[in-house]
Amino acid sequence: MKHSNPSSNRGSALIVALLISAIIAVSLASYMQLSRTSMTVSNRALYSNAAMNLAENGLEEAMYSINQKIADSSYNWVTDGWSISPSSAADVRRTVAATGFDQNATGQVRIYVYGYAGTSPVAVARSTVTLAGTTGGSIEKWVQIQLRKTSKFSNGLVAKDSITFSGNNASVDSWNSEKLDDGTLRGSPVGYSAGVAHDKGSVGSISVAVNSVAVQNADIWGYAATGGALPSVGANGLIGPYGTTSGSMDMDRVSTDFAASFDPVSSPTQTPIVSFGVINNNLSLPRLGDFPAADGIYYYEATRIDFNNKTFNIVGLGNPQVVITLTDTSTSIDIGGGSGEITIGSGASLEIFAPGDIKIAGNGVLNGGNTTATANQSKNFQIWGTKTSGVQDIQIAGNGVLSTLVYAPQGSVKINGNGDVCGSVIANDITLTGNAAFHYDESLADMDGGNPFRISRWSELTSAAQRAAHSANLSW
Amino acid sequence: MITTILSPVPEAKRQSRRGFTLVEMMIAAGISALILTGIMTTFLHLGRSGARFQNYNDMEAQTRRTLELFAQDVRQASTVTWNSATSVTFTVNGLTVTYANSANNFTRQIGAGAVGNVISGLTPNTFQFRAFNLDGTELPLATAANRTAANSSTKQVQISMQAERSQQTLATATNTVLSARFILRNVIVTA
Repeated sequence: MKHSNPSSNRGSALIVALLISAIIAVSLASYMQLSRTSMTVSNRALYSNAAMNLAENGLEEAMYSINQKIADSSYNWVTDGWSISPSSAADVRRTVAATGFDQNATGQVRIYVYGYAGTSPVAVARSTVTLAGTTGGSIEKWVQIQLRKTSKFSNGLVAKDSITFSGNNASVDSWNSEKLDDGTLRGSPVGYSAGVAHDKGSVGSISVAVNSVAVQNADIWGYAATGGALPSVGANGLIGPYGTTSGSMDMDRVSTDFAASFDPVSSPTQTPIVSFGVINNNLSLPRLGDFPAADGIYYYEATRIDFNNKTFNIVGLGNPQVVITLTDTSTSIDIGGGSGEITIGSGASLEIFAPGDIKIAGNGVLNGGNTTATANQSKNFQIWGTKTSGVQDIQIAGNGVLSTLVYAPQGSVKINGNGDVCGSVIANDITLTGNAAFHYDESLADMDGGNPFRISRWSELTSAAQRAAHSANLSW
Repeated sequence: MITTILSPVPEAKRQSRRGFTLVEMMIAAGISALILTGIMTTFLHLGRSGARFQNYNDMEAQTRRTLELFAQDVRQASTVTWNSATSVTFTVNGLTVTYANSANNFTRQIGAGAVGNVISGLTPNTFQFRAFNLDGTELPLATAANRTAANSSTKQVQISMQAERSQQTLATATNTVLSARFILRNVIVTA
């Protein structure tokens, strides 16, 4: 008779116990591994966000310095922590270390600005966050911004309050006097004509009131925007691209979230060549013997311009640029009579800074020529309203064609005439009387005028090829 | 006469050959059953919660990756076109990228390429796109007219949804997703 061996029984129990323990150990190990993976992913996601914020901080630094140079011409990049790039004197770079990360993580952002003193700088930031411990490895974000100068005249007609078209056949459209449709520069500026017209005229009011943009029977070939209520369109009016039917609005071209800033402007600080007192007779500037300032501009001052049937003329050799500052806070310009006028020679330019009311009647303003083909660009005749409170009445008449820029935050602007009005008007309220055809010059969106830069394009560099283009400049 | 002499069995050997009593067997079986039940229950729970944990992990990973991708696309988008309340197309670096809720999967499609599920297994009726204008006011997307108006005014986009995973004998695991409001940095909303 064979008897079972008690010692082999004990061995089976041990094996079973070991097997169960092994299974539980494997389960627990999987658990731990999942937890660990989850924690690593969460941790890296957290610091990935931190890296993006760090890259944007770097770009903020770049934008601060670029705009600081505009606000303060004595600003020095090098003493503010930047260094000139060893690969190009037109570029600068710097490193900013990040502090305050938890878990012993460290971070830094390297910033490189291409063409920092140019007209279209590009800034690229490469942020690196290095994690400590077992979730180690670094996280990088590369972000690039393209900058361009802002323009006060990036829209055709802009008002704080209302924009009214009182004529029955008024219209708004646009053209680009300086660039072709593909964005390349023209050989020389061209005037408005049907052949170069676009349906990109833009009308905007920040007012939330109903009828803040009263189109009535005007044709707005382009865009209209308000701060709240939809624009009102009459039975024969329209807003939209070419082809829009009368009495309708293309909702792709209408928005109700318009925002714009109406920063006050101040008169130039340069010492004038002469102070005229009241200009009440024919006057032609610059006069013989006048010398321009270092920037090539002739600066004058006068109390006001006040005459009937006289001419205020800007003409001379070499396309003179004239700036005149008027000081009368009540009435700055009052030109009337059958033949009173302001004439600006072909290629010449006139900027008027005025704190008081402006009325240019009579023959109005002749800026270059009296047709859209012969008129100067609108930036050759600029009116800057410097009044800071109350209403500044501005009435302007064209002579065949009125080519002008008007910027008057307190201005109540009335443009009279049945002809063409080219340029841009920014004011408190705007009224186009008669059957004026308003043509916005799209090139004004690129006009600088000492304004700060803004971001025209933001992009994250995610692929190796995108990063390779900047790698050499961002790897110090 | 044959005499058989039985050799005496030693006492110790007799004891070792003695079987278990019924009481001993019942106690042993009871204790074994308790221990085995404990082990099996623990093991079962470990397995079930491990499976649920895996589901959560899967949803979490999909969600994080999707939000990162969505944020990249939205931030760089130069135009936005609302196809429906649950489908939107962005233009990113010259390519169109369409995000949509399709049959309870959140999908991403570049141009006319393949449609990829970036988050699968959404709980029905939980997906929502939200559009906001420059001031942060929400834009309605319910009607075609709403969406046409929103095309030119959308400056911020947000998504929310709930993903779920369920398996037999497992309680459904859900993961609620609410993104930040991503700003369309290259879209100019006012002409």
